[in-house]
Amino acid sequence: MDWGILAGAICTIAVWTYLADHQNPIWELIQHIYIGLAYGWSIGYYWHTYIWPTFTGNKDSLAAGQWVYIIPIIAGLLVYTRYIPSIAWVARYPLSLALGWGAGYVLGFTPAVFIGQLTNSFYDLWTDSVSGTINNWILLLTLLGTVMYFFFTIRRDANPVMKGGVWLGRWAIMVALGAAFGNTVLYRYNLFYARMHYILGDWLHLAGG
Amino acid sequence: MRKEIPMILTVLAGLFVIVAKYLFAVDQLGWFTTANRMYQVMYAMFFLLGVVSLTIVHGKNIQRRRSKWIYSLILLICMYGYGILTIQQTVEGPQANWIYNNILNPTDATIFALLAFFITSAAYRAFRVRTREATVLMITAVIVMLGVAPIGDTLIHGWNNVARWFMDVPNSSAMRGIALGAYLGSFAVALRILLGLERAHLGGAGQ
Repeated sequence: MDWGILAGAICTIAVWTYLADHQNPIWELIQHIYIGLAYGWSIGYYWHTYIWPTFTGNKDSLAAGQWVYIIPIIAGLLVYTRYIPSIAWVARYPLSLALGWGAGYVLGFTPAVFIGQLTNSFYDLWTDSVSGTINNWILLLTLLGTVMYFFFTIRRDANPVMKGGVWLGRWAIMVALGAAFGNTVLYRYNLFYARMHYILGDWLHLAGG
Repeated sequence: MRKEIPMILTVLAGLFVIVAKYLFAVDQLGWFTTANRMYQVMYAMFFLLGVVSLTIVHGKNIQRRRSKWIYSLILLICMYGYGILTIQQTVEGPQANWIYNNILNPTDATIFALLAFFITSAAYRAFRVRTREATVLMITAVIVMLGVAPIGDTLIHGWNNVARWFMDVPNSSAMRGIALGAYLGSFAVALRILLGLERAHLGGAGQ
């Protein structure tokens, strides 16, 4: 008997008990085991990927004489002062550094992606094929409509161009959300099929293929 | 002092990244690489925040013998037990990997698969709303589902081309429009943070 498959099958069935009753003890047990194990895994992952290599092991470590890394270690540890009420404000220091770094990253590095998306939106509106021309016009108009939909600083009712653009944008967004919804539904069913195959095929050997 | 210094730190960190990006000399000196590594190390040190919070919440449950405290105990045993195991033998060690492959992974996949049932009932409720927008949403969803699944093309030959057109033309342009809106929004938020207009992160941790 493959104990791994048996364990996986028990976990799968335990999660499915949620469908029968949202508060049943088996579901609550597997839920807590899952959260515990997921956090446990992240402890090991962060430890071996970031923490331990900073202390020892490579050229960018304290062991290699790179004492500058003592700064982020102390700064990172300061975030735990939030659990000590009298000095909880100290936790703002590392959070501010992280937030500032993130904001700088958005302003410095994401324009390349943004501009790439923008330049790719300059479609050829008169192509050799009729279908290509129609498609490119639809692409351009629905894109403009969607962008207009997110303009909240211009009054929509007063401007007929805005009004029409917003109307078109709303329908385009509905189509996009419908497509995203359809893909999500299929992905979830695909996962469900995989779990059924695991139970009926890998565990019970009732289904092949 | 308790708010001004964090504000200055925010601005300095943000400006450093922007300057490093646009002045190549900063990168050539290796400062940005070192600073980026330092940021990663500092950020990694935050990883125990969730662990500490869970320990506090569930520790109190156990200490006060609240209802279902036994689940809290199981959670803490799993978290610390698996955490110690993965630290001792890495996440790819034999026992750690066995637990990952045969408990964590199947549970994770099944929880996501569980959403198949709820997404179906959500679709039913959305369809019952009977607005024109909801109808367009559901029709597109059905077209895409039938196009991606083999049954669509079996029932109506060439159906997957219809679905592909929906994905490639109206869907891609609207998604691009949404992405452009999100980019602009993120720029605005980043600018607000660097200009000191956004100060939500400076509150909440005592005065």
